Amino acid sequence: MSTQTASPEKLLRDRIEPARSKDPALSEWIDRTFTPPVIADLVRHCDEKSASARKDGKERGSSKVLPPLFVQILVLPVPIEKARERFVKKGKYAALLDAAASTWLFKGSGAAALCHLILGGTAESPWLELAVIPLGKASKKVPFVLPAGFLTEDGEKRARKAALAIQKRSRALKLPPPLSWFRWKVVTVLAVLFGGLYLLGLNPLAKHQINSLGAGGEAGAHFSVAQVGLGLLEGRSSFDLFKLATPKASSAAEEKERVASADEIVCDLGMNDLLRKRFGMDEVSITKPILRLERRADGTINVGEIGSKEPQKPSGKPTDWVKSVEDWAKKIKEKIEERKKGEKKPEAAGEKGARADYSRKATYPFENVPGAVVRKVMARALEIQFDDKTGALNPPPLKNGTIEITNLSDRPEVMADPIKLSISGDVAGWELKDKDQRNIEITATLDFRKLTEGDVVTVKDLVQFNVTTKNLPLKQLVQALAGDSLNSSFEKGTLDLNAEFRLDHDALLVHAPVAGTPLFSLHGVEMKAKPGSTILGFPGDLFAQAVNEVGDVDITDLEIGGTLDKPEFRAGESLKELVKSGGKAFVKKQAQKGVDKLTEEGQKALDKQFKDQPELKKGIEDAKKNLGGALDGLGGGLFGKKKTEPPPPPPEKK
Amino acid sequence: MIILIWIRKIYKSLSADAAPSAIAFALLFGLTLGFVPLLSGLGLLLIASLLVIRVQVSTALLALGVGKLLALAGLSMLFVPIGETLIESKPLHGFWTWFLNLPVIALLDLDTLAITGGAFLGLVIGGALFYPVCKMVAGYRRFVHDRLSQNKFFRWFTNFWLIKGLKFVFIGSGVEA
Repeated sequence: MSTQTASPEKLLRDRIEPARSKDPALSEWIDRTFTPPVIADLVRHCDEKSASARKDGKERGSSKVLPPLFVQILVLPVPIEKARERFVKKGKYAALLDAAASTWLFKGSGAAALCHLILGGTAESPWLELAVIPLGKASKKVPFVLPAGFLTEDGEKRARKAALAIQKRSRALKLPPPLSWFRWKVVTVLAVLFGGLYLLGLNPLAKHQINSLGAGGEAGAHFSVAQVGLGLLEGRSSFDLFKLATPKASSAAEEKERVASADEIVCDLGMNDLLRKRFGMDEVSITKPILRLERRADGTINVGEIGSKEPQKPSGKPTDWVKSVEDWAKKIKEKIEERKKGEKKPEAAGEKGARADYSRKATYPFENVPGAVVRKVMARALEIQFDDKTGALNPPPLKNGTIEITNLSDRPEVMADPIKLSISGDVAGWELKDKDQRNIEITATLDFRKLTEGDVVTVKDLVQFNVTTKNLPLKQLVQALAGDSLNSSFEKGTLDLNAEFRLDHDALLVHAPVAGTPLFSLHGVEMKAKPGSTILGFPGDLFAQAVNEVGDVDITDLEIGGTLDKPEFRAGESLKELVKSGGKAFVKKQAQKGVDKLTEEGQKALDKQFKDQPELKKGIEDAKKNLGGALDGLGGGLFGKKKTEPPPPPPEKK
Repeated sequence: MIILIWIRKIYKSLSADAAPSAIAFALLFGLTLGFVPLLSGLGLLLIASLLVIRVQVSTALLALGVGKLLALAGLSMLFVPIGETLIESKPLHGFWTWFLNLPVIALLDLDTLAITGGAFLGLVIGGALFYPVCKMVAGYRRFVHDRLSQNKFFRWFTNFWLIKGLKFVFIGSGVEA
């Protein structure tokens, strides 16, 4: 409603006062919000805006934050009737409210109310219409609009609706909802890009990269794969038909220079470890790996060229495989030391000119955490082929090999369990009749853990190998692989070994795992000792002579103690006797043992047979008495033990 | 041209309808990024966050530049001592041992003293500036809108073709002061 009162303050109060009577809560809020200083500010602002608009007679709008109000003023220097027409023609009042509430000034104002004023008329006959939309906490309790008197019924409905929406927005949290924090378009584009790359292009790309890196040999080896499956989401990567050759391999000489191949390598990646910045693999399984070891005419081995761009230099006259491997290991050690020396301190990561030292890191959080873990490595159907070009005897290939290693880590001292190793395989052409048994079976425990119980810290340093070999050809395998490194050469014979090798800290112990069983047995051996050599602590020629005479020998009472640098051979009486007597006495004793055993078994068998025939047994007993020493001459009583006479003492040498 | 586009974006971000808190967040992100190496784990995470989270990229880039300049000017000398104080402090050993081994966190290179120190300094400065920046942006907008745009001299001055041209070059069209 228009008014004839000249003072804007009175006009303003006239518009506000009627709302007081509606609700005591509203009355209280009005008093708190429209304080005299606020009213004074508002009136001053109205005066300024209306004065300038009335001068040029143009419509004018203005927004201002007059705490705690956000004030939007529209000056229409026309009579109120014309103002009504204007709203019908140019737009709705609701749109005006919406526009006011959409400005950044309103959003950032934190106002307690939106105060929308329309000032009109002349200085002599001004009019004022007012809408007050309480916001925030007050928006629920009090009426939100003091309706503008010139609005139509429909216009008022729209205005109330718009005001309600503004109030609702003001009640909402200041922070936008979490979903709107993200640029979903960017996320979608990135997801499509990475998804497409993952589903369509990542595997071929990885294969291309691997093969192009391996094709030139710049990486220190030639390698290739036929197929790559980078199942990064499942954490399972597979590589089919992996081939590895020396750096000098060309496409024509690839087969000749082949070092290793495998039908399939599957890696179960430890995603939890990778997210913790550790290299982790839960399982690596290699199917049908073939390792081809070639010893060239100059004594170098093909494996020695892997990782090196330059061809290997021979260290002297070719000897045996063991020496070649030792040379290779020595060169690797030298290279590692060189690399360590050549390593520079890492520079600050990309911060040229910065003075901060980015090489300083906290290490204690990772003290008890391994940097790399491979929980299980398995290889099935392993084959190791030997190709000796030096003219020496070519060792037979090792076949049907199985390798299983668990708890492999760069820091075994912090692992919960020790490293376990098991290797088994057959020597081609020397396989055992029992298909379930292998020529070579090795199990090992490597325990370097640091165990803490309360204040007590136990540092383990244990290397334990249990080696079992059966029917191992001495000449074809042992002689061929380690001929020059041994103190003897073998012409024939096989070796059965059942040894426990234990190195606990520095203390060495090599013995048979079960007391009384042979540490090793030689069958049909013919050997020759190197002049001046010692074997198991005995003069080599004597040992060889004794063993040759015996042919088959079980070494039961031998134990090796001391340390790795200073082994102590603790040979029992039987071994000493074997060597001293040149084998003859040993043979005799062994034969006696054999006869005794046979006699015992025979007696037992007869007892069993005669149990139900006492008469027959008695007859035999009588016959035994009568025959007496005649049976003894055969080397022992058939029906019972007979002590052999001790041999006469050797004549004293003067 | 890139600088011009950047200036325009800064102006638009200050004058447009973006919440002042978004600008303050961008400053926080940018400063933190300015105090850590871009190619570190934390740096890469912050860059990815800038792309994906709705913060004012242009403001963040400005803050990044300011941060790098401050670091070069000598603030980087504080990174290691701050990081050392935080990480090497005995009572916090348990916390850091747990925290730095958490998935994803372990990839952020926070074990590097200078990175932790820089990030902490960035967060502290950015956090301290958060509220003032919110107020400053609101105040700037009020000033430009209420005072400057209504000022007669300003209106007269901006009507010159030279000023209009400069305004077009640096601010672009479609933006009203």
